[in-house]
Amino acid sequence: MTLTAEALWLDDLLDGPTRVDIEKQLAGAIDKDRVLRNLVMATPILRGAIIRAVMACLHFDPLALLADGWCTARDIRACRNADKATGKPVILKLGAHSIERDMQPAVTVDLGSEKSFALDIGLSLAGNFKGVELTISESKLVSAGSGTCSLSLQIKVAGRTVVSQDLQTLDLPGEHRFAQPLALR
Amino acid sequence: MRPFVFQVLCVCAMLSVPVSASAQTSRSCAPSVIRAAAAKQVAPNLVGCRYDEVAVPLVRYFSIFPALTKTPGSEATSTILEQTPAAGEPLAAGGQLALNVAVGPSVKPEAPAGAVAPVETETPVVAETTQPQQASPDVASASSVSEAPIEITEFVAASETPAASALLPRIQLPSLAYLRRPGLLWALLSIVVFGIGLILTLRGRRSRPEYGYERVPKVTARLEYGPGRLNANGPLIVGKEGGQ
Repeated sequence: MTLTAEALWLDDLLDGPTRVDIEKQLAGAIDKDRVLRNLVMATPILRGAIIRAVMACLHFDPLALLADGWCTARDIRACRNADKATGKPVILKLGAHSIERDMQPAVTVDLGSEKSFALDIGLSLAGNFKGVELTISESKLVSAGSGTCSLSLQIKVAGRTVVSQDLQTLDLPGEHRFAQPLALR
Repeated sequence: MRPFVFQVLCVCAMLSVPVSASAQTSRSCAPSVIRAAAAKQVAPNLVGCRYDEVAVPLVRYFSIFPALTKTPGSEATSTILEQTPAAGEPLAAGGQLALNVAVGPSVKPEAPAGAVAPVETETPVVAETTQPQQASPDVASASSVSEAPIEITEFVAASETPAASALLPRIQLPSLAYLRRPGLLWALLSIVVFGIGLILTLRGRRSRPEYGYERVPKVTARLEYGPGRLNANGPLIVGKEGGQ
């Protein structure tokens, strides 16, 4: 799959079975919370609303999410001031590596009074990168590109992986600019 | 539509019921006004009130048996013409209250058979009180003839002599007998039926809860991200362009 700039969204990479798995696990997580289960029983429309709200949260750029691993890597942070002398962006060519990041959905239900619930379900997005180049300018990660990225999604319940799904292997373009430069920290 | 017709019929029924005399009590003669005056320890405004309406509240709230002065006139019987002390003046519980009560046109009382001949007078003014403890069996003084209204000086017991009792004004204390009137019963029944009809009407007009847009629960979700974990088997940076 050839990636075009500003057209990479995680929910676009999810196929039908993966969506069904996620929704099934979300429904199970709703039933595990006693208060949330009572709310859903009193208002059946709530279950679908919660699932739709969580699924809507998956509309994000997976590379921007995984870029946090680059921003916090010690070797990459060491190069954040390398462009000060020349004033030109620094391009780092990275070897094979992987970045994994966990996500936990939390919902806020407003039925006259707001109540927040942290669902007992975890989503873990992992990316295996090969031949990726990073562009750093003014201590910020500007873009990534020129490589391949294999994305996989894991669904964890109570810390245990129940679903592991390989999403897609992306051929990164020459330069995939992030919406906002990410600060190296 | 049917509850509306029902209410109209109820209103007609209520209007057809004659209002009892007790319901026409003016506000100044109401027991609540006398009670408020008793709380302030001032004399209530009783002029114009009927004595039989204010007698019980006076006894109840002021512990007063008023001394009455009976005066004939064009006013209706038992109407209070004057009062001492005047309205608003201090009057403690158990104090002295004198009332000048109208008795209607002058009446020549008829002496009952075997009784002492009554005193013929044009202005039969009798002073009396409702306090039998202080009564003095002086019938002569009670039936004394005078041109002007007599100050309250003597107290006559109603059971002393038939002649004296004939001269006493007939002041009737309010009773609960009016509750037995069919008119009042119909009025209460009409009010209850009207209320039920009103409730049914309002209940029909009340907006029923619907699952509209406002009734849909608002759900917001967010993802709480953990830190990114980078794993590399070999060196992470294999090349570098630009910079130093």
